[in-house]
Amino acid sequence: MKSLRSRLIIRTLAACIACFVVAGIVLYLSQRAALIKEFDRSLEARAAVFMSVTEESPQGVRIEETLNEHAIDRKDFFQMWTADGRPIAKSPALGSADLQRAEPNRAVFVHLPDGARARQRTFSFAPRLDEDAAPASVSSSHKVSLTLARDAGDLDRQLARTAWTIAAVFGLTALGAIAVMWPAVSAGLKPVGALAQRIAAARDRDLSDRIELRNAPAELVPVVSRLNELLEAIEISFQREKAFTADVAHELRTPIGGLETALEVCAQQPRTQQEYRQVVGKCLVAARQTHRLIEQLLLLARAEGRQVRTAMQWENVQELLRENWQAVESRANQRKLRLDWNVPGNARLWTDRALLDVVIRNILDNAVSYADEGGQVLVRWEPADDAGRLIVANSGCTLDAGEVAKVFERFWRNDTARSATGRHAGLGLSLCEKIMPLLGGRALALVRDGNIFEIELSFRMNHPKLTEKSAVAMVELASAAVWAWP
Amino acid sequence: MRVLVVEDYELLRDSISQGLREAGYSVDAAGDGDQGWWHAQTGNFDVIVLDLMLPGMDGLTLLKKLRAKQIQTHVLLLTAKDTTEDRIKGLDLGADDYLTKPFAFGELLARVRALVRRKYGEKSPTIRIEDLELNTLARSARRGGEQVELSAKEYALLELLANRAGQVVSRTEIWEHIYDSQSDALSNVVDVFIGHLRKKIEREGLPRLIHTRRGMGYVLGKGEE
Repeated sequence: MKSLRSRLIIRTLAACIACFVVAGIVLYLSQRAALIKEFDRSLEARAAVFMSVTEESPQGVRIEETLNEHAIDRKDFFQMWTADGRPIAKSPALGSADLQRAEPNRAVFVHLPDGARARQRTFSFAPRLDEDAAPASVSSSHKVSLTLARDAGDLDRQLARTAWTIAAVFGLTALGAIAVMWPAVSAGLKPVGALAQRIAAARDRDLSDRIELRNAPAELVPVVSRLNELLEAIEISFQREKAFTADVAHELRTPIGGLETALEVCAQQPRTQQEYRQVVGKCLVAARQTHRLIEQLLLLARAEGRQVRTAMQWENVQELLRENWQAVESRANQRKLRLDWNVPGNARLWTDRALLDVVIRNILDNAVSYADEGGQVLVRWEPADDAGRLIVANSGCTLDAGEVAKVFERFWRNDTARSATGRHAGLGLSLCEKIMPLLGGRALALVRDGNIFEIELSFRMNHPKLTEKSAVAMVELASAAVWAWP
Repeated sequence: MRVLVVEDYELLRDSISQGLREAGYSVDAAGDGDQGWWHAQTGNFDVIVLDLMLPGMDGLTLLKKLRAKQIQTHVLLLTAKDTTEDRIKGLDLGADDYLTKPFAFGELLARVRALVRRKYGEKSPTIRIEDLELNTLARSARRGGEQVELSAKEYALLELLANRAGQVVSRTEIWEHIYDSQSDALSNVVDVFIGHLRKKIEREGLPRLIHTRRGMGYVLGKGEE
């Protein structure tokens, strides 16, 4: 795995080298163009000399004798033709070979008969008339073509030297860049390294530590900030899970401890049949409580993970409430609770019966358990725009607003006891809150008039074929028929 | 020996109480912290078995109040919390031992016995006074090498006297350590039990071990009345 440092260096270096190559090419080409232009100028100057020594006389076009002796550089080759293509003269060095007569005023590189590279240009001009025949300033009306070629060896060597110089300078610069870049990039990446070390040092045992980077670069500030936010979220989540696991262990240990001790003490000595029956009866109650607790925990876990399959169908609210009330009715009577019942007879819900039973049973059980002795339990169905609200309330509430906000927390109870009577483990309302969204609703808890604890279950009419109009009509119909039960 | 059990889970509370009673302890039981505090503040218990999480006053608060009131009754914390932090917290607040639920009842009994021994400065489960030997594990007694058959109450009385050998133990103390607060035993029951005990442990030719201090109580040990 490549390190960030090597990646940065390699990529930066690659970018630098690419820039150097492009710059080198551009520089070389500009130098080349300048040198060739200079070479062409000297070729033009040499051509001007040829033109000045070329004259036309009645005998034809001729070149002064002095040119061959003094004016022609050994590196220059020429050939001259009349307008109709008849050769006039050429460099003796050409021997039997000829230069190629090209288009006028266009310089090109060619190879000379001896194989050397040369720069060649063809000029077309009118030679001056012979001094004896006309004034020197007057030119002939006959055109002559002059092709002048010059050995380009010096030019090529100059161009090669330029290319190598550019390549050497840029190559050495690239090597220098590597030498400078390594420590520079390392120094620049120090905060990243420090951050990596802090993250590597983080352990799930101590998530309360936050990452602090002194003089953190601006780019890392949001990263560190976000990391700390995530650490905080993880810490809260860990603490919650830890507390939940501890609560689960605690809630299971107490009844299991009770069962174990009861059976162990019972087995210590022979007992009467009645004594055995009593112990078995007590253990059975404890086993059922434990079973219920485990079922609640499993359902809670599935509801939180949204792994509960719902089987939705129309249910009569009144029947559903009546059946669940029967489960707590005897206890309500024992506690001399007064029931205020206001449920429309035709109120219906598109819901999952089994899940809603769990919710209703828990909130009714909660109301009956925590109402004051001789107090009141209220069960009311209220039609609403979106469907309806089921309200279950009880008198005798001693919770303040802060405590009410916690009633849906897992294992929360008003007193510090955990095992208590084994009846309430503090999961019931938490289950209700988690199940309600699965049924397309939600649960709210509030305190009214100082001592009325109220759980409000809001339901939405989420039947796929139910239109808004028919839902309103149904709620109106339901509210019109208040069933006076019990 | 008298034990207070403060535990809110009824099945566990009843089972522990029954097991301790059958082991010869007199037991008072409380189902919440307030009731537990009401019992505990009398200071008449050899050991308090105390659950941490209780309705009303929680176990740690009860323990703190006990120690603040200079009541040095040995406390065995009984709780389902098993983290090291919980143990440290409980022990730092003045608990003498810690037992995590679920537990073997035999272990609870052993720990209660150890706390009772600690209260009376005994290291060994065997108590020897002259030629009388009490085995607190087997809850048995031997005099001059011979086994003495004792009922649970008689053994409890003898163990109390043996733990405080050489000291005067008043009738009230005996009554409080042998019977729980729910007992309807008569006030002269102590004298009756002392009489039974004397008949069983005194031997002809061997020195008398149980001595009466008139108006004060009883002393176990070699001495003159």
